[in-house]
Amino acid sequence: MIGRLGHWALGSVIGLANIARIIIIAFRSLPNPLHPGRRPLIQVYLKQVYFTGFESLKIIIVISLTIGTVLVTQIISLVGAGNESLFGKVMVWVVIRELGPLLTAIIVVARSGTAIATELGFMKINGEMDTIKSLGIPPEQYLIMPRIFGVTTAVLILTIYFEIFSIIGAFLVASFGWHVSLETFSHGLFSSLTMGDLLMSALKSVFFGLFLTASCCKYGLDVGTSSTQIPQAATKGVMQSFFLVFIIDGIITFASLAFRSS
Amino acid sequence: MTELIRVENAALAGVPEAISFTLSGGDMMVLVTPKDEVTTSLTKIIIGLEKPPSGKVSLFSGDVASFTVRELQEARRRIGIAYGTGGLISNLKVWENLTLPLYYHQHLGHDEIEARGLALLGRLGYSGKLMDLPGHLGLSQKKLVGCARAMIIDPDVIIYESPLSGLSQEETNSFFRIAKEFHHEKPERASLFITSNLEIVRSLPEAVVVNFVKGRNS
Repeated sequence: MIGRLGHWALGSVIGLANIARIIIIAFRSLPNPLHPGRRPLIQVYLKQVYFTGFESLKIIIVISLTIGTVLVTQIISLVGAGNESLFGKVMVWVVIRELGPLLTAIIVVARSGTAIATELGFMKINGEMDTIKSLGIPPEQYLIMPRIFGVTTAVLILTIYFEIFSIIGAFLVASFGWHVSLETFSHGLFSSLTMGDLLMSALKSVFFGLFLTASCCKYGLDVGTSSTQIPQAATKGVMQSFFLVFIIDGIITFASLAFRSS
Repeated sequence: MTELIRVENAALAGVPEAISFTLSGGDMMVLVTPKDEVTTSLTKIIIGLEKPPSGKVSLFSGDVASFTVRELQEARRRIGIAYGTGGLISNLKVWENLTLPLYYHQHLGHDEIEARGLALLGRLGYSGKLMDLPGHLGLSQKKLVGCARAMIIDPDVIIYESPLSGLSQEETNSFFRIAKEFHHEKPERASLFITSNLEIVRSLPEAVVVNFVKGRNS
């Protein structure tokens, strides 16, 4: 039992080190501004931002509006009407600090993480990695780096949209259901919102984006020669990404609390 | 003449004896292998994607085994490879596949790249759409685009892997005519045809033939 636990722990540490290594490689592969190859790299980056960011926007808007309305309804059912200033505060505590980055990352993992792992696995099996190498192009620079930064940019932007639309949803329900004025709602919101909250939200988004993409890239690149390994890689990549997102969320939240307390 | 590729005593699965040959500037050479898997493996060994179990591979007078990653990339930029299956990247459109090495390696304007790309595709007789993904193309069309991509970088060495597979007689004739023209367009350019199909020897009477099938480099 202890042996198995040790084996699992060792495997997890090695897996995490490999994911961190992929992120470091992505940073080291950032092109020199004078390098001619930046044009195709920017193209891959923008495609990734488009597929992850723009195409997920509809679902992000629907979920965030729903979360906003649900939160306001729950606050009313918990503390009753007459505590309108609480709406804004809860939005900051729950949506901006936690749910915004977390749910956005989960949606991106489910939607784009699988796509990345599958695409890279398919390319590996088809020998396209070798083709890219034979053109004198480093695959880590052409395939990995733009994906990691593209998804990270998309997660950051989608988180901002998520938070804005959650607040809009919450205000609409509060306004139509309980006649809360914009002034009261925004007073509660802005009196609780600090730069630290926004920074924490942005920091979480960036770390989620980096780690979830690196994890999916790792499993996609680990595919060997059999096509049956592709769905396995996608599943493993997604599960690992979820695991990492929750762990990172816990670490950043705890570190932020420790920082505020000190 | 400048030595461009040298393979010395490279052991290869499926080949009875170790492989040796030297390709110099201006050479046109045909390597005949026992089967397509060996063709693919030999191509990979030449460009340093695979390491032979024994023997030595040199590119542009440098030992591939001692190359740094950057040196290997620099060497590969001077070699164009027309793959037997086209070797196209599945998530890039035909046009993106064709122009990728130019956009990545050279400071050229869009207009110049467009002119070069369209001229090459026209010359090779590509009749498909430029914005199609490779999945929508037949094998011969994929091969034409792959061949154009190999030629567009104006390489010092061009390797044609299994050039006859998937081509009709008419396409084969046209392909060899263009390959010969391309060979002579740049002084010191070497062309290497790697195939398991001996038919190629009749189409390239001027080429040096090295046959690895008979159990000795002949």
